[in-house]
Amino acid sequence: MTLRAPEQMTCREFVELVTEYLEGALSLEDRTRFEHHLVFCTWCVDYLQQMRETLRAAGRLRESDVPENAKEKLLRAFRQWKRGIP
Amino acid sequence: MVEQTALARTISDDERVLAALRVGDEQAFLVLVQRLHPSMLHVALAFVPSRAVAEEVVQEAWLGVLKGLAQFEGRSSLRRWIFGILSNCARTRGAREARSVPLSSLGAEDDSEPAVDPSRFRPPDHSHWPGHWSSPPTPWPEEQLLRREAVEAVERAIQDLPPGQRAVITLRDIQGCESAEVCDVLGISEGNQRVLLHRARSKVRAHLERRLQAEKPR
Amino acid sequence: MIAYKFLRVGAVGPFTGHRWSPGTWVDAADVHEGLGVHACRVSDLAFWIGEELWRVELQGHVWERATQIEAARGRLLDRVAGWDGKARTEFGLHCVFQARDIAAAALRGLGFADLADRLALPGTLPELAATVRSIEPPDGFAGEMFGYARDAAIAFSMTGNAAESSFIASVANAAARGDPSGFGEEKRRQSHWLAERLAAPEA
Repeated sequence: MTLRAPEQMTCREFVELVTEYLEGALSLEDRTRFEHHLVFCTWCVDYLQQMRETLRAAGRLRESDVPENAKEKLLRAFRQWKRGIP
Repeated sequence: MVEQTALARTISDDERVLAALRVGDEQAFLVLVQRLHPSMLHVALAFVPSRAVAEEVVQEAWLGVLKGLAQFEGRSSLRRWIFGILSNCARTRGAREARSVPLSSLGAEDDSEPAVDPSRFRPPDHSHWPGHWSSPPTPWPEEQLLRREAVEAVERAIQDLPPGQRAVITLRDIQGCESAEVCDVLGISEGNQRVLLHRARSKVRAHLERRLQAEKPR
Repeated sequence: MIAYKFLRVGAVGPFTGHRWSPGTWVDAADVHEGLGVHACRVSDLAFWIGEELWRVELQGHVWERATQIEAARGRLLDRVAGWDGKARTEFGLHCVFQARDIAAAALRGLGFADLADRLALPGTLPELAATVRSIEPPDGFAGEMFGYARDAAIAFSMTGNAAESSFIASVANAAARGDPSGFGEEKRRQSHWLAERLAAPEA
């Protein structure tokens, strides 16, 4: 098919351009090709959705565990700094 | 009730946190640490060769934050300011460490890394639909994604990333920084940042996919 | 200027997720590099097959691009009532049989008259799907052409994805012509077929 309609995007190319698409960094031409592909390829629609879900899942890591010894060290530093507050 | 924009919310959050820190509110400090510390480690590891050194760098950065709190004018967001301090500490320390890897070369990690295993597409010489999915992705059920296991899988996947990719995805997707902020903190170009982000996200997605597949009842 | 726009159910933009409100003007943030309001000329319709089809009004300068037009400002006027699930299925079927006809003609030209006849016979989708499944594909280019008919029939039977059959028929045309321009040619032909069915006038 690449031979037949070479300007049409393949799924393999699609997955390499997903990040640029989400960043709004694709040229108008590539963005159009990308969107043409999304119109009919439900698999790539799913892939794009998975990418969105992946980065959303990463956002849920914002509050994560700090090792106790690191926390204690920082708390000590904070208390020391506090003592200097007028 | 007027809806605040994300920026307005950040500014008022920052003001609240700053005010609390400046009067010595330990709880506010711990909340801030909880929010930023693990990400600061990931960023430090982009500049220095070992976890032990990275932990020292992050501790040093926090000290710098406390020292600078009184003078901080709020011209940038608190987070940006803190990562800026971290970046400086990490760079300085990285320059001193004999085996540090310059960040500019981290963009070239594994140059020919495809986002998806090529065997999942029809080969270029296939008679029909070369380059199209042969093992396509299947949609992820919402409830699976919301479970703790999914978030843990993402966390593990990020921890396993090479340092440059890990730092970028941490700042962009965990912390929600804008790309300009990330380029600033890491001292890399926009293009470089995008490549690292692409590779990071692709790997994490693949890892999450494997994890979710494994969980499905047979 | 009046044009057309495919949207998702609920007048939602398929790529931006923007919720359109009929009658309300939308101003594009920036009309450079594709950030304007996008719409279809009649000849573009087959590239953008979606759930809802709307007539839109565009204002200001209109940029003509290869498969869409773009304006600084636009609003939805009304839904093209004739475009519903049933119409989409009919369009999909039309494309499946178009792929079949292209394949049959190509096979005939390649000297596979019997195969071409067998392929040309079925009048319904289930019959066509059964037929293509029962045929052992020939080698080479003939096999490729047969494959377009087979893939179109089987895929549409399984998923009813009209946009996909449109795509397959267009690739088949490019293959039959031996020229990539055959893709756009078939798309435009499909667009005009569609417009006629919907009594959708040119802008």
